[in-house]
Amino acid sequence: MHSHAHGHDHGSTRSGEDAVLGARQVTRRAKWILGFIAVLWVGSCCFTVNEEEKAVVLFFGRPVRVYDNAGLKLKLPLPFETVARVDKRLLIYDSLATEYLTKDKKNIIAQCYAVWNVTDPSQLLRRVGDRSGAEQKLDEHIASALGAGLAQYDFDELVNTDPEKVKLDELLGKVKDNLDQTIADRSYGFVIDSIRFTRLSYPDATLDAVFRRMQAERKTIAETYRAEGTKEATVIKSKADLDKEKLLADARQKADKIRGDAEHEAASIYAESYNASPDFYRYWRKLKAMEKVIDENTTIYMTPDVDLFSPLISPPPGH
Amino acid sequence: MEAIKRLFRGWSWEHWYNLAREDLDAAIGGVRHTAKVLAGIAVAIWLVSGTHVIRQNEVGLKSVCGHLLRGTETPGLRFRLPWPLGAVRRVPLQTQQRVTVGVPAFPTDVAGDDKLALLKGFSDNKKPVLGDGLVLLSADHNVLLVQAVVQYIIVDPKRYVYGSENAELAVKRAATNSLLACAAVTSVDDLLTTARVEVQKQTQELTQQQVDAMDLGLRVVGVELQQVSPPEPVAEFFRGVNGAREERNTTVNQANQYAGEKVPEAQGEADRLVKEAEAFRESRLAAAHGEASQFNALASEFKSNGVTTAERLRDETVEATMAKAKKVQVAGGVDVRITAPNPADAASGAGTSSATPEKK
Repeated sequence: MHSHAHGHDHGSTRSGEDAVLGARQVTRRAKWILGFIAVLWVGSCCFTVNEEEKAVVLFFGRPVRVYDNAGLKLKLPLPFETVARVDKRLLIYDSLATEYLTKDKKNIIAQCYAVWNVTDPSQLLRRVGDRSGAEQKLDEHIASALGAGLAQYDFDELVNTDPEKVKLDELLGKVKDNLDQTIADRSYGFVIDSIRFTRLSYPDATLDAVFRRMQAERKTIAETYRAEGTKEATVIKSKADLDKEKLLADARQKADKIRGDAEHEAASIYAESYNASPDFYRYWRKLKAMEKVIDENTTIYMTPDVDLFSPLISPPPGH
Repeated sequence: MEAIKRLFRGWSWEHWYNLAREDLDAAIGGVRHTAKVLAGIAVAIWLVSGTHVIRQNEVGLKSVCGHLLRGTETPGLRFRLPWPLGAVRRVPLQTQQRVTVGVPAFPTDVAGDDKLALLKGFSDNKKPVLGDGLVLLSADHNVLLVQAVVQYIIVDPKRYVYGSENAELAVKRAATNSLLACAAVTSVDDLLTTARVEVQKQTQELTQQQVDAMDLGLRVVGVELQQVSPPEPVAEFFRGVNGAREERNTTVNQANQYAGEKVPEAQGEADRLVKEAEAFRESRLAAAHGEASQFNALASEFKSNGVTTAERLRDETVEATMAKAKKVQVAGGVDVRITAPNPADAASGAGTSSATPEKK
């Protein structure tokens, strides 16, 4: 600001002494600035490689050296050499959720995660440019490898109540072999360590049908439960009824036997005493019968010479 | 006022320039001094900025110019080279880390269509709406929504930080895959009820296997299934099944209750029948004994003085029966004879008697 104001006033109002002073100051400032730029330029000869990175030095965009280990490194100053950094750690890639067809022509949505890492950063830069380029290649190749893999298996081999029939690992093994081959052939400079499913589902179009099926299944199960309940209850109740009848029948039989035995015993008691005096028994029994036979409705006709009335007719004994 | 007057006295460019020049020179001198002081302070701060504190349950990973130094910094006040030469990364060591896998219960602020999108996990561009959305397919082809929490502790801080780009994400993906693998062989009913503990255990094991394969320097210490639920459109029907199961239990319980009442009731009834029969037996035998002894008494009396006894019995009977009878007419031509047996005839068995009216 100062030198500018100085220059502005120079021609018209300033003395020569001042002009020399101002010019000197301009020069000093320019030196400072140039010096600073020079330091930066020389500074661009140094760069650090972090522990998680590999660095590639590019000579006008062409990879010339790779630094695998972390630390302070040297290169030619800008604009001759630039540095590209690549993460050398394991990277997690999520594939797109894509619709595929199984061997038995069922549509499914599958998604997986892949663990990959860069093995040759200069190759990576040459072949696919950068990480997002590599991920695009992963998109492409994983989708086609998964498609090819899934087309060899039935839906029942992906999920099944029988673990023996589930072939997810086998399928992914094939997919990975396929991918390894493809990626090695194209020498992208990265490798896939593993690939596994994170999603198996139905596509939107069939989801409604799936829900209807699930609903129907649930209804059937609910009905089965109810029917089971009714059946079980019936079994329990009829068994209870049967038990009850059996108990009562047994009891009746026992009671009848007791009664029968009692009658038998009683009869033998009677018989024992009756047999002791059979004549009297017959007479006595008839008298007993009389008591029962003659009641309020009985009309008896008798002549006066019945022995009962003899006291009325005959004189008393002893006369 | 004086200052203003002085300003306007002798008005000219020269005057103004001299004034400004004096002030500026004074100012620049001051600024230079201040700048030196400030620069000194800045350098001091820069040097001191290398001091840092590693807290309890943390370790520090120190690097110089990007190069990771051997060993780790233990808790306490530590020093590193100031930025940009040195750097330190703090890693929690003993504390348990938690990551959530799966869809949370439907957020209440999500509208109907978006809910379906959430459930399906995809929007039109085929990218998952929720990065961690977890729609599981059970072994019997049912769709389930699952949310789980994975707990782990970092055992090797260097591997944790430098083994992978994002160890937490790796754990999430590994756990997601493990849950999917478990669900693929488990029926929906088991997933919802009995198999939960088993699934948790297996998920933990499978996740650990994958984590070990990646060498992430961490140990999975637990997997908790927070939520396992059917999607909303079918949730009601799943509740229906629960209701039906309850209903079955109720029906069976009622039947058991019925049985529980009926059988003891019948038992009681049976006991009563037997008791009654026994009581009958008692009374029957008592009566028999009574009658027999009465008879024996009469018989022995009859034996000792036959006719009198016989007549007495006969008369007593007649008395009792005749008294009951409606009418007693005495008429000629009808012979009612009650003949007592003669004890003398008893041996020959010729005793005859007739209690019924006999026509002559």
